[in-house]
Amino acid sequence: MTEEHKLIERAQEGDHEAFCSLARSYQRRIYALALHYTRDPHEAEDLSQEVWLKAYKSLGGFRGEAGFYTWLRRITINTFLNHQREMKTMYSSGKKAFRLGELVSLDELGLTPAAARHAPEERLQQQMMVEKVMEGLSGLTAQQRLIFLLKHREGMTYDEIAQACEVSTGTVKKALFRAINRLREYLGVKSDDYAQLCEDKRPAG
Amino acid sequence: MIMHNCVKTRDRLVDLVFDELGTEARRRALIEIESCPDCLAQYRSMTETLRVFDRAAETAMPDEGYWPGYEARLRERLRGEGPSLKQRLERWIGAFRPLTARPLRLAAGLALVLLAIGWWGWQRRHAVEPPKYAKNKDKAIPTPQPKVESRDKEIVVLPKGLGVPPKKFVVTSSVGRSGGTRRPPEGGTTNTVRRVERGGDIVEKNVVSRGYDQPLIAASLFTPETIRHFEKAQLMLRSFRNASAAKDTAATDLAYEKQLSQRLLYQNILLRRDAEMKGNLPAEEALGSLEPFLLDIANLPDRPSPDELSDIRERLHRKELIASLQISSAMPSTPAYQNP
Repeated sequence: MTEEHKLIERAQEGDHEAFCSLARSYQRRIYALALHYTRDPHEAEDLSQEVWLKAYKSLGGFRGEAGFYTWLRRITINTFLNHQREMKTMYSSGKKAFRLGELVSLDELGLTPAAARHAPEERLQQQMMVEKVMEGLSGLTAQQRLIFLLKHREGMTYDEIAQACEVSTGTVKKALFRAINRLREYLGVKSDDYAQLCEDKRPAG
Repeated sequence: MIMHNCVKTRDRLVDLVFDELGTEARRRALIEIESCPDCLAQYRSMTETLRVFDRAAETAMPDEGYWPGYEARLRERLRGEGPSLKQRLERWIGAFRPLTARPLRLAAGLALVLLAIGWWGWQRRHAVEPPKYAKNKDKAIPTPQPKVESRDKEIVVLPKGLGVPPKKFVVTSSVGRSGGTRRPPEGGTTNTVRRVERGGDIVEKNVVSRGYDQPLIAASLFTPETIRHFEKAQLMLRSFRNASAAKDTAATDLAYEKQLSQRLLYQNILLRRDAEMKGNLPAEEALGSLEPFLLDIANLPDRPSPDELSDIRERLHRKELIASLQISSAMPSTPAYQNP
C-alpha cells in the first residue's frame, strides 16, 4: 500500500491532518488551474479551496478504481463548471483583468508571485507578460478557458475533455483553436513575423 | 510527392500543437508543414504562444512562502465542516452499542415489531389495486405522458428506462354517468379536473388518485420546495419542447419560457446550494443536471432559430430529463396528471 493510499484511508476516517498532507501534493496544480481559470489570485484561492472541501466531503465515495488525481480532477472540473454557471447568472459581462497593482498588493496575503524574486527590471517584464496572458485569457469564454487549461496544462485528450465538459469533440477543438489564436493576438506572436522570416531564409529563385 | 493543401493542414495544426496525432501522423504532418512557409510560420507561432504561456504561468504562481498560509486556511475551513456522511453513519451505528444489555435488547425488539406492524397497517391502507395491465406487462408501454380520459379507465404512467419502480396512478372519471359521482376507494384523494371540451362546455371530472412507492421515495429525498421547483421546471421544459415555429416566420417565440427559465435558474441555484450544504447528494445531482438546461434556455434569444433549439431539445431528449423530473416531483397529493 502506497503512502498516498494510507493518507486517503486516514482522511476517509476524518483525519484532517492526513487530508492536508494529501492536499499538499496537489494544491499547486489545482491552484494553478484555478488561477488561470479565474484570473484573480483571491478568487483562485477560494475556488481551489472549494475543490478541497468538496473532495473532503466526497472522499468516502473514493474507491480507488481510478487514480486519486483523476478523481480529484473530476471534482475540480465540476466545481469550475458550477462556478461558471453561477458567475454567468450573476454577471452579464464578467470580463476581468489581472492587474499589475494586484500582483504588488498581494503581500498582505503572503501571496508574493514568483516574479518578485527577480531583479526589478526583469520582474516588471515578467509581470507585464503575466498581465498580457491573463488579458488574453479574459477574451475567452469560461468554457473555452477551461478546455484550453485541461488540454494544455492537464494533457487530457479531446474525448476526455468532451466527456468531462459535456460538449462534443468538435467544440473542444474549436475552443482550443480560438484560445490559441486569442493568446497569440494578445501576446503579439503573429504568424506573419515567422512567414516573413521564412520568406527571407528561402533561397532566391 | 504530397499535394499540399494549406486549408486542410491548418485544420490539423491544433491537433499537432496539442499532440493529438499519433507518431506516424505527426511525422507526416510535420513533413508537410515544412514544405509550406505559411503553414510552418503558423505552426511555429502557435508553439511559441504556448511556450510564452507556460513561462507566464510559472511566473504568476505564488512564492513558496504562500503555501503554509494556504494550508492553514484550508485546515480552518475543514474544521468548520461537519463530519462526513460515513463518519456520521458510523457514529449513529455506534449509538446502538449499549443495546447489548438484555432488557434493552428486548425493548428494542418490541419497538421494531410495533414499527413493523404500523408500517404494514399503513401499507395496507394505501394498498394498490392490481392494475389491469398486469396481465400484459410484457407488452410495450406506449408513452410516459400522463393522460386523463373521459370514461372510466385505469391509466398507468410508467416513465421508461430510469431503473426505478414504476409510478402508478388510478384515475377514475364520472363523466357521462347518471347518478352522481363515484365514491373514491378508501384512502384515495379526489381531485376535480376541469376541462373545456369542444363547443365551449366545461366538463368537471372527479379524479381519484394515489401515489405509491416511488413518490414516497421522492418525498423522502426532496424537500416540498424542491418538488414544487421540479414541477415548475417540468412544465416549462415541456412547453419549451413542444413550442413550434410561427407560421409566418421560421423562428419560435420563447420569450415566456426564457423568462420563466431565468426565475427557475435562480431558484435552482439556491436549492442546489442548500442541498449541497445539507449533504443531500441525490437532490444536488438532480438539481445539478437541470441547471445547464435552465441556463441555456434563459440565454436563448427571444425568437431563436430552429438550429439553436434543436441542440437543447436533443440533449433534453437524450437525458430523459422531463421523465426524471416527473418522477422526482410526483407525490401522493400532487399527481402529475393535473396538467393534461
